[in-house]
Amino acid sequence: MNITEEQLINDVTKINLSGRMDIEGVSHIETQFAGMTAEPRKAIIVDMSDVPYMSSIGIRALLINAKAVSKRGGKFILLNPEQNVKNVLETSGIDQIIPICSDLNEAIAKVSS
Amino acid sequence: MLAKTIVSKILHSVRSWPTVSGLLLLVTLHLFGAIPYQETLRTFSFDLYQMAFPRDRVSAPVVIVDIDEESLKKYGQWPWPRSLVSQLLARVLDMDPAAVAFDIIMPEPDRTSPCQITKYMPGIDQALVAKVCALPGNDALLAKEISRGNVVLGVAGIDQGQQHQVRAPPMQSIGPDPKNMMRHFNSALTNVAELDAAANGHAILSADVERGVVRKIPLTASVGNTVLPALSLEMLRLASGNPSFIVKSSDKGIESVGVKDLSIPTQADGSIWVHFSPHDPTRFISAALILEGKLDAELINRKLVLIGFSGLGLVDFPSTALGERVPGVEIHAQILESIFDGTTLQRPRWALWAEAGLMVALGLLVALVFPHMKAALHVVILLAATAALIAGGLLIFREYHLLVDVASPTLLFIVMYGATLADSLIREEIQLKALEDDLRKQREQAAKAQGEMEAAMRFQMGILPNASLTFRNEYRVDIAAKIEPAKMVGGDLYDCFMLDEHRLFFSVGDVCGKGIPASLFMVISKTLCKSVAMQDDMQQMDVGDIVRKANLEISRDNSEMLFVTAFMGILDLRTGILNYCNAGHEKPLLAAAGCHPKELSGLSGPPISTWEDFEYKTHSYRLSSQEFLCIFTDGATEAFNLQQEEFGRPRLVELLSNIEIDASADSIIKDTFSFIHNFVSGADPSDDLTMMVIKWKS
Repeated sequence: MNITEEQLINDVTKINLSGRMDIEGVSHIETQFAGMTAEPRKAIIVDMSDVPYMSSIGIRALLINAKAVSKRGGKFILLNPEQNVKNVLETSGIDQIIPICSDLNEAIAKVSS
Repeated sequence: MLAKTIVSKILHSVRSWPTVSGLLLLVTLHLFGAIPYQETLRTFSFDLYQMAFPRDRVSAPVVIVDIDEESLKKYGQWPWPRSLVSQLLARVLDMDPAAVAFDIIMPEPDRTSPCQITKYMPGIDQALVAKVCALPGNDALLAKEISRGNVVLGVAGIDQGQQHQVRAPPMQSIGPDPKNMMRHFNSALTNVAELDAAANGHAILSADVERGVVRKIPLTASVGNTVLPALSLEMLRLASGNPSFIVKSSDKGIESVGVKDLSIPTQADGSIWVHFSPHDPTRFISAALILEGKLDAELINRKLVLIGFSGLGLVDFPSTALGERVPGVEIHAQILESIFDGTTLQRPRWALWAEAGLMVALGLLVALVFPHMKAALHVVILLAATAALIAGGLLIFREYHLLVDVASPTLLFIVMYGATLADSLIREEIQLKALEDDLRKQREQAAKAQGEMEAAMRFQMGILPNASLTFRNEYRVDIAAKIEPAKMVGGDLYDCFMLDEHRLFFSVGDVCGKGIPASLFMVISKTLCKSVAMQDDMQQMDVGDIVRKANLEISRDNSEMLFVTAFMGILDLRTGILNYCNAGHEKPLLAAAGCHPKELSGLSGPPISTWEDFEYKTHSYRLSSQEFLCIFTDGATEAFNLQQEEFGRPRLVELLSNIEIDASADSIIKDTFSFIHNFVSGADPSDDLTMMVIKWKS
């Protein structure tokens, strides 16, 4: 897996994930991922468009970071997951605690509010 | 990086120090000639040179007048009367030889002299005695002949005994006094004074015999205070008409001996290594032939004549370096030949240093260079170096008549290589042993861990109820459940128990991840869910409340952020009404004979322990007695075979649609598992596999 970040307007951080989010993939990025969502960042958008597969370990990685941001009063949004990843997120009810957006501007608006 | 390389090189050379210092010690001993048996090895290798390239007999300056078996047969046993010897000498001298030498010592007066014989005749007439004694004695006859020409008599050096004055030709010494540098004898076995006084030439006959083999001959040696030339040198002196022989020396020892116009390089002790040719009978002329006057004078004319024995029983037969046993007199002949042809052998002074240099070079090659090379290359270098050394030694011998010992460096090379090889083998063996020990320990630890894992699995499986057995007597429901962990302990769970007389509580869950952490979380989750469900105040609550409360409990102290997807339900056995809560779990399937299975689609929220205060919704469904509910984990749908194909939800749906209407919950699970096993066929399970089947009977 690969992970990159970019700074958008209004202190919004966009994190781009790519690759399979299974045990091996997540083990490569989890430290960097935690660093990118750490203090003082409060507006995080995670671009999921390049993630073809998501296992329960992948869900855990998203949850850990989402919870950390939310505890600080920040916002954590998933952007554009592929259909089967979206299915996993919906089946597992994760979409009920981490919002999913399909449009970047909408996502920016949501995390900035 | 560079510093690291240098450090590692120094460390490596530290490891080589014992080898290098051992090598230097050996080379020092070599220079002092203190290595045991090295001399034996060396002379053996020199013998091999001679065998490979024996001397060709170019000129034939020497003739041996041989007192052989035939002569003894004709003229009687030895010792012959010296009158007969004088006849023999007279005949030889008549043929005008360049010089004649006796390889015979005559230390006692001849007992067959006329005057001597009378002593053995008791009662002989004294007048006759006086008359007979007036006749010349045999020794006198021989002395007369000896004095007639260039005749050399020899003495044999003796180590013991009183100092004894011997006759010797004058020596001309060039350089420091050579007397103490050469072979020394205290005394000598000499000829009768009468003969000695008559001879023009005086020589020493002694040769250095090592275990019966003659390799070196001193060309000059001292007896008492007198320096004598060897038989060969003295003959050459007389033949060339020189009044004295020359010994040239320096601080390091004798360099050469000779006469005017002839200089023979020698070893420091005045000896030479003899270059042997094979035994040649044409060197010999029978004494009988000469006594009978049948010999062509040309065969003796201007030749160097040696008079000696080959008759068996008269002399011992020393061996030459070629391994042949020859009469001693032939060795003198061979020395003369090789001096004449200029093919005497020499072991140069630099040879010892050259050998030491080769030893150091080859030793360092083994100690410092070989460890960085591949073993296959070692063998090539070893063979090439050995061949080159042997060829070099032979070449120097053949072309320059020099004796350089290549056997010592070669042997050192091979022995050192063998030693380092043995050393590395021993090291490897020790290393191998250590590795084996490690492996054994690891195996023991693994076996221990395995045992503990098995105990953990038994414990984990032990806390799961046996569904079909528990509800054997409950006619209103048929329920079965099974877990197959992917690793030994798993993260899947199920549970089923009666909340009260009519209400059945059941759950199926899947902890994220696998192995021990997941299994611990599974045990905690299952226990907490049950304890929450069994609390008095929860008895009338719906399942969503139970999940909410269990979520709160489980979320506490969850630093590892593990979570569990769960499907929990409460089935009212009176009505078939199912209240359920799906916390992020796979949607269960509802199947009925002849119908396409459908999903139980209600979702209640995210997995348990993801969000502490989440309000989980309760959904309801009324089960029919014609259908059954199948709850499973993703181990069923995401089972992979060896071709990496996924079993998938559609296959499971297809399988469940074909279940007979009267199949028991137990048999449905059994069939489904065996179908999945067949599909996976030998591939390692990727996830825990859990399934629960519930049939409500009205």
